[in-house]
Amino acid sequence: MRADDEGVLLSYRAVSAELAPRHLDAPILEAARARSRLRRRLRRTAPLFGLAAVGLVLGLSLTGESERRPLTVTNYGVVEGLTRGYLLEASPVQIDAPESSGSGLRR
Amino acid sequence: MLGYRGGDDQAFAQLFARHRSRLYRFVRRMAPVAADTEEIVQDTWIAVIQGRHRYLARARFVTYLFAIAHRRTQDRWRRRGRRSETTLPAHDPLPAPACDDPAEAAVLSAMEQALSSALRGLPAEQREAFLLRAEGDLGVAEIAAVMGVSRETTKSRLRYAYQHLRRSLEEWRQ
Repeated sequence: MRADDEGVLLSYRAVSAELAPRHLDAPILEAARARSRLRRRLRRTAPLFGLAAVGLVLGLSLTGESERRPLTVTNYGVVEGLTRGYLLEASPVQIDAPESSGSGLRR
Repeated sequence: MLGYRGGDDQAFAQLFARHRSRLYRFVRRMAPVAADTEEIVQDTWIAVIQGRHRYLARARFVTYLFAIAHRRTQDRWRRRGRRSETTLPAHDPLPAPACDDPAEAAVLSAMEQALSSALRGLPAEQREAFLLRAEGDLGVAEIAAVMGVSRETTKSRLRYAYQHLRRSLEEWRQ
């Protein structure tokens, strides 16, 4: 920058002293405060929301687990034993079954 | 700005106090009409508030602030269906600079009018480059970044602006 450019700049700054009107300040500063309040509130409630979310997930998973339990704890050996007795009792009926059925249950 | 991003209200109040009038004068001299000034200024500060989480300290805050103001002003020109390359319509005269001595105040006021008039006569891109230097105290690289042009283009715009304003001031002094 040349020295006379600096002179122009200084002249401009010397005469350009207009201040922003005060009535503009309130809404801007209020918007800044409102944002900060929101942020603080979120920061305070975030752990509670986190805990609630973890509780919800745990609750849902436990509910799902308990609904599946009758299927998963089935003792197939016991069921097979009961079934086998039933089939043995039913064997005379199946003797007349067609050859093609070939179930092997007749033995 | 980093303090404000971290939730410090006082940091914003300090930033605002430091830049409020500089930004206002810049927008007032760049807005399509004087009535748009306050809205653009408010939009600019609200954008700073809303975008504080996106703020990265890659540049000075003042560069960031004036870049937002530049975009908001350009938007306003577009919305009014005019190009900012046109020269400005005459605005309301700015208030005379505060001064205790009436004679000196009169001289300053006359000089302010001469400079205002010369600024209005500048093409918008030269006027903006000069105002970013004078009000934002930005360097050539920062002005180039704000205006989205090369450093050489910025230097050229500044050179023409200085020439024009210097000539106007010399004419006024004679």
